[in-house]
Amino acid sequence: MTVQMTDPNVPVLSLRDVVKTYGEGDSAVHALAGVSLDVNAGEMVAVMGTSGSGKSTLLTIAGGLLAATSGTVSVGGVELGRLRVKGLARIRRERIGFVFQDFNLLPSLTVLENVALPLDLAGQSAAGSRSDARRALAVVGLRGRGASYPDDLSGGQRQRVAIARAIVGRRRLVLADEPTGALDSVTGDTVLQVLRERADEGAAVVLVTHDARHAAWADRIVYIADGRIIDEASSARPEQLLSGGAR
Amino acid sequence: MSRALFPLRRAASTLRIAGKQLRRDRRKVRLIVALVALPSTVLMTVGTVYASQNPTRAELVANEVGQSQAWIKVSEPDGTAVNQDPYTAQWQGTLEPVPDDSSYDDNPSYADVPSLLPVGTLTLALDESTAIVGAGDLVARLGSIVGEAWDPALAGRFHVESGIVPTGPGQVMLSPDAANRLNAHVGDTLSVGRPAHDVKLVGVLGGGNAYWSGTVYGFADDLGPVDDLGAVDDTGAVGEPFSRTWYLPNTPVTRAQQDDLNAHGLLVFSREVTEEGRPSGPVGSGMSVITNAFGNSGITGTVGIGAFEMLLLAGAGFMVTMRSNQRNLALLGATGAPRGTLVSVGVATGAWLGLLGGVVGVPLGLAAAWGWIWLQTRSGGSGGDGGIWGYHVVPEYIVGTVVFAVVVGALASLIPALVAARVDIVASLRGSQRPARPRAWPTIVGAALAAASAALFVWAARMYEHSWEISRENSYDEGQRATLIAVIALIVGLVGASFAAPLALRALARALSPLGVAARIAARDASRHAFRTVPVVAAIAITVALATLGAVSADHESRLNTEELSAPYGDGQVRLDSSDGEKTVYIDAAQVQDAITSAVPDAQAVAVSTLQGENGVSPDGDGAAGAAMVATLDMPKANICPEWLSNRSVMTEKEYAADDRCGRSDTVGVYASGIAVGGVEQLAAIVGREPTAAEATALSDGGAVVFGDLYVEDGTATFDVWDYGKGNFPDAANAPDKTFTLDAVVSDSTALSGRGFSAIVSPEVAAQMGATVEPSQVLVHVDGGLSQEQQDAIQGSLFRVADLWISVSRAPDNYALYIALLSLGAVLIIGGACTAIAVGLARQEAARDDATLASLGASPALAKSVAAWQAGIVVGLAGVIGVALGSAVASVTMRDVATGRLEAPWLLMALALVAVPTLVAGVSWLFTRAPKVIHYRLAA
Repeated sequence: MTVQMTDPNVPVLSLRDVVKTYGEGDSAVHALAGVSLDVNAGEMVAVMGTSGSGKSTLLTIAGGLLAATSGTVSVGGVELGRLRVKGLARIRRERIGFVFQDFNLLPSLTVLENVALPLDLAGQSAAGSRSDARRALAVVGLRGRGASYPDDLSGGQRQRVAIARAIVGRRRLVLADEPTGALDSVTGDTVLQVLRERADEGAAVVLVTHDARHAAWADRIVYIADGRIIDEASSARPEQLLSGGAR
Repeated sequence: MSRALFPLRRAASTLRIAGKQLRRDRRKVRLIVALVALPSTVLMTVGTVYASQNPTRAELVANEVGQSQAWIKVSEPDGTAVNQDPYTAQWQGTLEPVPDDSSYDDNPSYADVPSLLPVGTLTLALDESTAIVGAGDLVARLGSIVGEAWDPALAGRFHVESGIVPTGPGQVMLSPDAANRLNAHVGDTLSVGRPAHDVKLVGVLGGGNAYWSGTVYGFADDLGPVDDLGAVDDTGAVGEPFSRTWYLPNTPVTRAQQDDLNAHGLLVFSREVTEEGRPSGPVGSGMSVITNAFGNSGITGTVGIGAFEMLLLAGAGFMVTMRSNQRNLALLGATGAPRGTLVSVGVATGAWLGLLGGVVGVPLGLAAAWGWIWLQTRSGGSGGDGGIWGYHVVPEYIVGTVVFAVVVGALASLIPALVAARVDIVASLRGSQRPARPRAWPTIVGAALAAASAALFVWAARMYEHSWEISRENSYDEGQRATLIAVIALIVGLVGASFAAPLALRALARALSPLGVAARIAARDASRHAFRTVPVVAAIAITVALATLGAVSADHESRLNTEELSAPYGDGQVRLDSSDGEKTVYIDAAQVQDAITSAVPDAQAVAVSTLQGENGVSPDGDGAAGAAMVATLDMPKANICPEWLSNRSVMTEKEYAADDRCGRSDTVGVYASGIAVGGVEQLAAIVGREPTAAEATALSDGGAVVFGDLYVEDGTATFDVWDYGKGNFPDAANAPDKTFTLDAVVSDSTALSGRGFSAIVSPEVAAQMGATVEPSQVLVHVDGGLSQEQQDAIQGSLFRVADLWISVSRAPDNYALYIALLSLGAVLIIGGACTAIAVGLARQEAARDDATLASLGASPALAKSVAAWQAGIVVGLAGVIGVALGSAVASVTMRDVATGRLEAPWLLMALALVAVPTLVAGVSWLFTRAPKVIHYRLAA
């Protein structure tokens, strides 16, 4: 499975001076305080930080689920701030795949239907979407489980279904929020391997994690604290970053 | 604390936990409280209105006797012992024989009633009759009370509203209604009696149980003797009033005295007896208010079905609440709470919510009842006249309503609590609780019940068919049994359908999945959450089944009673007989014709006389009562329905339906009265067109025009004349005094069923017959038909003459369509409300899924589409179940006897089956909000 490329010089994801503030006045909380980040095609970036540092906020803003207070967010060159609700939905449908810590699969749909959902929402033919979904399931090692319901699967299997749903079709950006948080280490590695392969195939992958070992799968690691990116590093030295040596 | 108190401690702990859980889930709490509050409000309203329609003891006593001690009336003039309610004096029948040990004379007349009372008893007698009273141009026949109704001893029963009380002859009072009707004011001069003489209106007297037409109060010098005033006097005893009441201002009547007076045919209301024996509240004790209210099958049915539907909906709400609280229940289980405690927590939650619903419902019900009573009092008066005695709040009823609400809450939460208590504690705490697998047994039970229901329907249908094969006088019980079995089959079918509904929902999910994401998600959700969906489906199905029955029943009735214009369209009819009591007074036709043409100059007002019929003996006519010659049109023996001959319902339904002589709307019996007398003008007025040549010839040649073909045989009709003075009444055992056989032409008019004319003969023929002729009707015709304004103008003019009413033939009301639309409306309102609850609950549970869908790029409108599909699925499935079961009941009890087929508005029902779900789905789409805040729900 390959990802459709547009202009290779344009970052798949670009954040410029993104600020996100919750509340007003004295009670205002600055979740992001001027974050700038580019993620290119074929690149896997891990975002690390302590709890409350702004990692998840960064991801939801990058995915167009949350509007930034200021700054610009572009996906494939399209500035999300200029889009209305329907336009944002279309961007998410066509260009972004989400992987959540809690899987967020629809329990009333089968595994195959869950994976095919983004394609169904995009109006792809049923036969085509089922075919693509089966391929995505095969990629994550769940061939033959399409007729099962999410409740029938283990946590690891559910997360792999969520990844299959994130990578199905031709979407260029995969945003994964603690995808291994609910998994054991072996299963977690399997999931990360799938994401790594996805990046190697040309997608841009952003992985939010607080586990340095998981971050090591990324090409680049971004450390975030108090809503700011405080450092970037290659994955060769994640332990050093975590120990605070980079500061 | 001792071990004995352990259950109490556990119950208190359970209630505390339940209460705390509720505080954390306020949206669902509000929904369920509203669901329980609704039937509680209805119950409280109905109960309070009912209680307010019944007097308290003090109100009853004041209304009956004012400040006096008792009243006495003659109930049985022949002295037969009467059985009465000792506290309300309501007649309950007679007792035979009269006790021998009575020291009083038998057969009291009005004159000797005072002699039955202890010596020295002071009495105040009021005589009731009627009188013709005029004020300016307005004339009305009013009720009259002769005697001093304004006496201080009767204060409470009567009260002076304005003016003063009469001090002597020449002065009268009017009731407020009468003053309003005559547009009379205190100080005006009124005319009373016939011949009329003037009196002065000195005041307005309210209270009492006034005649609907209004009442005039005065002395005998002005309002009596009754005969001279044209008032009704039917006691047969000269000088005695229509009715007399003796009030005893100072003399109490004991229960023993009451019994003695009853033994002489007298009704007695006694202050002492009532105050000693009757509780002070309305009707009786508080609980009897409840039992009496529920004695009304209509109220019971409505409240019962409504409460059951609310129970189902509240159950669905609880199911959602319990599911969201499953983690809390798992925590309780993990800390050692047994399953029984978990169930108790669930039921206690329901009881709490029920209590809240009851607490909300009681004031709402009291307020609604107050509003209703206020409206009633404004339009209908108060006290014994208006049906409303006061605003009676019954404490027992408040308690009963709250208890009802608590029970509803507890019952509704029972099944959800039992389901929730089966929680897998470990899985639930891990958040990996799997939904219950669909089990086979509910489907098996559902199928078995559906089969049982079908068998019961077949049995009932066979039984009903059998009832057509036995004589009609014996078929009623069997028909009733068949109906009962059909109703049981309906209930069994509904329960069965509820059990089998999950299977139907799964099949629907499979069928609808290819139709798109929204249909797939909605159908799967409905199928997976059967505990939430099925109660709502059942609640709507009940409504649909009843609505179907109502619509089919109305359609069935309209087919039985063929709707025809009762007379030519737009023509009016004024009957000249003004009946009051048992006597008939004929109003002068010329006076009525003048009144009509003065109101509508274009109107043709034709007076039609009739030969004296058996019910039309006139006191003012030429023939005195009991001495009239009465004419009838006879039905030839061959045309008589066999049942009329035997005077019993001996035919079977099948025979009766197949016999053209039976069940006809254009026959009124073997001997028909209403024989019109007149010429072509009268005939034209009756049939509403120019008479045909044959009709005109028949009249002019001494024949008759007959308005029912069964009364004619071989071109002739037979008329009999009976001498009532000799006691010769129309009967097969009697021979008429005279018989006339006339050539007859059958008219296609509906005059017999509509206006009561059986035939018309010329005045010459009528004279030969020798029967009394009375002007009986004035028929009104305006080209193009009378407008409503013209009808109102004529009506107003007629009231100046007497209590006469004009009826105008309009297009027949489409009763069946009206009921069908009403049923449809009920389904839309109740089904829509139920669906709103179902969709609301589903949307609450789907909040996280909506957020997920949004993250995947679903259009914001997807949630709206899902809601629309959910509504369509719920209402559609309920509609199919309801229509099927309703039609099944109808097919048992409403099939056409002759054809054995069920005629129903099938097209309307089919359209409704498609239109209602579509409409409800559309409304759901419209009112479902697209999810907005999505990122929070995606976090762990």
